Amino acid sequence: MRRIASLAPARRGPAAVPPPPARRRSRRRLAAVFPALLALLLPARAAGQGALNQALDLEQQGLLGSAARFYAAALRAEPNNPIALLGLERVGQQVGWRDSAVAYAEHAIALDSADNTARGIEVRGLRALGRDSLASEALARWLAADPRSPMPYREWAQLNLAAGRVSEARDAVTRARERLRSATVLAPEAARVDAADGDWAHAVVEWRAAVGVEPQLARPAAFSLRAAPVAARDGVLAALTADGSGASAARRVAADLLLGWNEPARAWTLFRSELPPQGPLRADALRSFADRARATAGPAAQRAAAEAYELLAQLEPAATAVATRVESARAFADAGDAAAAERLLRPLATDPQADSASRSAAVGAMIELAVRAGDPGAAARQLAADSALLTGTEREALGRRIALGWLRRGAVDSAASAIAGDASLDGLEVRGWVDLYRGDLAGAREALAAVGATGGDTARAAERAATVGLLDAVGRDTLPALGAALLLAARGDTAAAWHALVPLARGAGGAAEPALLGWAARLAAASGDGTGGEALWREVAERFPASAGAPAAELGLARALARRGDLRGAQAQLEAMILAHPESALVPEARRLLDRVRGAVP
Amino acid sequence: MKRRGFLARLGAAMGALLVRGHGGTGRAARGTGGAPGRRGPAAPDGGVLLVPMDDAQTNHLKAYGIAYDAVKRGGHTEWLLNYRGGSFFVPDDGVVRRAATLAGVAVEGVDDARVLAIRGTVEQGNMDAIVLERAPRVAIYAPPFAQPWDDAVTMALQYADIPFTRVWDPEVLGGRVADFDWLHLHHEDFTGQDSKFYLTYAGAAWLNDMVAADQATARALHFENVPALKKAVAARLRTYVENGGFLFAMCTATETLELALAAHDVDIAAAFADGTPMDPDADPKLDWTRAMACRDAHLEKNPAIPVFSDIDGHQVNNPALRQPLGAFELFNFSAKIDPAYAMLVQCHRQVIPDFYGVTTSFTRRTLKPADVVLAEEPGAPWVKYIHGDLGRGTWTYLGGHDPEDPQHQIGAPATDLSLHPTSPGYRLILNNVLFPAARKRELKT
Repeated sequence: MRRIASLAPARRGPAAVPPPPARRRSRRRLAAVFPALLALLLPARAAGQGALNQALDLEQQGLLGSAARFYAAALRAEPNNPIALLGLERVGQQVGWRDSAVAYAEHAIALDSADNTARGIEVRGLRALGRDSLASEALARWLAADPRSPMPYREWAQLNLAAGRVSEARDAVTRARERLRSATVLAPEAARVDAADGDWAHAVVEWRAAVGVEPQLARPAAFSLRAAPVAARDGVLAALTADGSGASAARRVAADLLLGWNEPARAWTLFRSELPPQGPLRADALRSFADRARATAGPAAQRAAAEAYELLAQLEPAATAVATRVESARAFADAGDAAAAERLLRPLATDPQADSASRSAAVGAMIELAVRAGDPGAAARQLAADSALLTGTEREALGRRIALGWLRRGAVDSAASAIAGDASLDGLEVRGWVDLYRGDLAGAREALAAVGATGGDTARAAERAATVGLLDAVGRDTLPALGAALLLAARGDTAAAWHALVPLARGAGGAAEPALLGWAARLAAASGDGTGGEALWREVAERFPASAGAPAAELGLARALARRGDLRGAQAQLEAMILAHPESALVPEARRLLDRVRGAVP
Repeated sequence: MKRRGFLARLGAAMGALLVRGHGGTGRAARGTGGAPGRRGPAAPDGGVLLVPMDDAQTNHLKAYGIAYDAVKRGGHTEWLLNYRGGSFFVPDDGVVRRAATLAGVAVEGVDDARVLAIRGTVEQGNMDAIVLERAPRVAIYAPPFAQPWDDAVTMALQYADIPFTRVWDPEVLGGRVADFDWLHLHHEDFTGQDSKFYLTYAGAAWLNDMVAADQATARALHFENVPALKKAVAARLRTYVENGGFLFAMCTATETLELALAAHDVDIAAAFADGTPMDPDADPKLDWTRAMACRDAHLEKNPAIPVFSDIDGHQVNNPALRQPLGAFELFNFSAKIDPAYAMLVQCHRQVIPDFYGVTTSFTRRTLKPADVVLAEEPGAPWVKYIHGDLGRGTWTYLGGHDPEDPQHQIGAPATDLSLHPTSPGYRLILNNVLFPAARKRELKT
């Protein structure tokens, strides 16, 4: 402790960065010495190539300082090597060696005044170093060396745009157009300048001109125009969809924008009408649109994706078209159109001329969709009929899906049949659920515990762990009534399930009673019966305070109190739970809820 | 001299320990038990607990609440600057242990030998132990109506369970802020233009309500318009600092407070706010001697751009000038020589990801020479966190809106701090809250 006599001016304390570990130091030394050794031992060009390869490797490993030294070594051997120049610029800006890149670029320019890569690096480097007047002079030299090139203007415009110096970027565009006597040169830069100024009407005109000349600019154009505010969007779309030169490419930009603005149906209609007539461009455009629509939530987007994939599949060779059709079918299913999904898959699955891989993919997808539609019987029939098309692993995976579908229908025996012979770990889990619902608690416990509480889907793992805990507490090898009650829950009838569990709990005694009551309380809450759930949680918390289920019961009770607005009661309950069970795994959850009921977090 | 001082302190500390006769547990714990009448181990009253603030801490933000409450209850509390991320010594009693357990704050029972060892470490390094002796009375300047954005300081105080009082224009003009040691300003626009949202959010119910409420306040307090009201409030806030208050501001409040002070006799508000356009020649008429932190800034003349001046380096609402977010670095002050500055930068991280606000940062060019930079983005023309003295008080500005929501949008849900209990950015806010708790002589002489 001390008393302070005065507040002296601000200053830094001792350096906070510890010295690098010895290993890193030696690696750095080696990295510094190695380029020099290389230069001595190898002919210049070979040494340069070796250093360049080394630099690229080091950069990939994130050893940027060493990479910069090797890029420099490569440039000493080959001063105009563009890969080395750009590499040194790239890593140099991350390790604070921007000035080095400029020096090497100037050396390269001295050797070859037409080296535009080096010219660009010089200008960018000087600007990044804050030497604006030197950067302007470098630009002037570049313009003098190559007066008919738009590149210096483009570089200058882009640099200024990146720095937010919009008026200087606009000056660069204007000067380029005057001096090169072209009203369309630097159109993308002009468009970005207009967008930065919020002048969307002009931005879209420039982009339209740019994509008319270079259709590959469609994506940057869409990216730039997507930021247009809602009020400007109609104008942007009108300009892009108007007739005239380059209309097709511009309309594809409009379709892209509509997709980004969450109008997938309109986007697809426009996009389909403007597809390139033939060839790889048509397929690329379709693939790009379909993938983006598929990644967009909502049935309209899924339908757009499905239709785009279907069209794409017609353009693809047979081998890849199958996967595209399957994806289309899945998208149709996600859009809620099972008939369209089947229309696509059935011909594939039943075509005797199709290769086995195509047929198995189609059959697999049909089975999946049938299970999702709640018809495991149809799925099982399809699997039986086309079993020969599938590999053993595929058959087992589909069998498990069908089994889970049967369990959701309450058909335990059918579920068991669906996984007969499946010896995989995933199969063991399904077998565990089958055993549980049959009342074979020992078998269920053994299977679920063997699968473990980790791996795979987190929610399923948590459910497995909780179920094993319940079975441990119940401590019986068989209890058909418990299996039947839990099967009701698996079928979604949580209300019937909790009512079935309560009398079972009362008769069980020992550790089983609080465990089963707690389970019943959970199901009661899930069924929407807050009062029933609260009463059960309270009973467990008060009658069985030392049981393993007590923390969960106290937390459940607090949740129930909070849900019905008794925040004070919930707070007291949570505090009691945390203090009584500070080591419980549920304490972090209890603390979060405590914060919420106290109003400490939203 | 240093050695003699150390020995003297050592002796005093040992004497105190002997008098107390406490028995520290010597084991690390995350607050164990202690609720009166509840199950759990009894807490040994009378000793010392270490609240570590390095990566061993599981909830840095609530740790400040524990320290604050300990000070408030009159317990001997020390802030160990630069020791394990700015740890605390708090009394080892049942109340602290209970609170720590409930909050999930890691505390370590330390026995006499360990206390002495820690003091020795503090004495020999770039560290210091500062006594926190009075829980500051905290006020937040916030309107009585809901706003569609969150306030990082309100959230931090609520999360850490540090009590505060809300004050608004009538309380400030009525002199009530003098009752508080620490005053926070957040997103308020002291130029009286409601953050220049009138175009971007025209017609939005919350904006209409905000404008109407501000106008009603101005009328009730006999001001011609809202800009005039806010200028008067800004002047009172300056007086508050001069008289010894601790002012902490974030986001727009920083920049607009400076502008409102400098523009005492100049119209810098657009016509939509006061019926007359901004004085076209306002820049040279600004009187920067009235401002606390800034000088020579240029106003944004366009009423449609929700930006106020070039004080802010990031210009988030000006697409043409908007700068990308980087990371800012806290200065490492000497705890023994500059304890006040060191307190404000106690953190378990030296480099913190930046976050936007309507005012995100402060351009170096517009800072007054006496300003102390607490954090900066190396190489950038702006800094993030500044501090200075005025009269008998201090002001501290932190740019940005919400340290855990780097691009907080209007209408976006408030940040849930229970998901960010170790937030280094929020720690900077809470450092400021405890700052006035330090013994006055240590801060002010």
